[in-house]
Amino acid sequence: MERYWEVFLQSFSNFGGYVWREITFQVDPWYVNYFWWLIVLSLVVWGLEILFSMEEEPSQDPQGFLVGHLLHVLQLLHLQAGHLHGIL
Amino acid sequence: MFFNFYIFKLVIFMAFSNVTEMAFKDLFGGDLSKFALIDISTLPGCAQLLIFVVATDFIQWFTHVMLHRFDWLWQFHKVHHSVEEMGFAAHLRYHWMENVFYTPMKYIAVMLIGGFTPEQAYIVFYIAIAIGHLNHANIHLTYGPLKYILNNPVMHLWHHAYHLPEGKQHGINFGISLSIWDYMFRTNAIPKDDGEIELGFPGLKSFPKTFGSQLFYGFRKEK
Repeated sequence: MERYWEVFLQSFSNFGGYVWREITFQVDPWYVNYFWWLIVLSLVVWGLEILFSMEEEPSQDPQGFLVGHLLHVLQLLHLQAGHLHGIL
Repeated sequence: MFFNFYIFKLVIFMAFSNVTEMAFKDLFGGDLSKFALIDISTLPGCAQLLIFVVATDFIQWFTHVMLHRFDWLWQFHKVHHSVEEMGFAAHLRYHWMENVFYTPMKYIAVMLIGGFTPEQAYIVFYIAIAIGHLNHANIHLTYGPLKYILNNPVMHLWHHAYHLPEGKQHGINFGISLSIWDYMFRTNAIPKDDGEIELGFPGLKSFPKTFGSQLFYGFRKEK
């Protein structure tokens, strides 16, 4: 049981350190970096969404559109890295 | 504040999955490879990756079907379905309990194909995240004939539809990265080809809107 507790506690520092190293480009190899991949990907897809929106008419309410996308960016910050855990 | 909360939460997941992994190993005597149905370690790298993709994607598809099929699981999954218009960020809006279901399932899949993750698996994860982002994007895109293999924005838009086709009340288009499972198991449907459809589920109007209330949604019976 103690081993489980140790693993549990270590996970915090290990993962915290890992995310920090990703943010600061200290991971090896450099191209396996989910943090920045998500940021770049989101910007690209967001750009595509703005350029090729599925709705035929542009949003009736440009301010609402902007707020909507800003909210998405905020959500991205909250929710990014959902894929980081697990069987990596 | 939100960001910290999420980082905090992610760390909890990490701890959870590490402990689960250890419990798995303890339970089965450390050597997971004996549960393998096939041993892919001797195959060339790209074949390993292909099998890895097919196996992990299928088990996630299956888990996703279960999230819709059982009411207590659906309560958690509703957080993801509470988006009213598509946008890439919807991809990552989901209840943290979903990780608790997906992670062990993926672990089982990996166990069955030899108990290890191929070295080049990061490519798979990169592509899977990209497909997932595009699936939730508000873009009219089907990838042509590849639509029978790859999940795509139009197909996934219908997964989020409020009004489901008759006889499909438990949902349609459950695909994660691959759409092939839905075509195989006849859970596919794209009733019409334009983007103007209502999204969500019955009761969406009264679904909690704030982060905090969504965080703990699903644990109590809602009145």
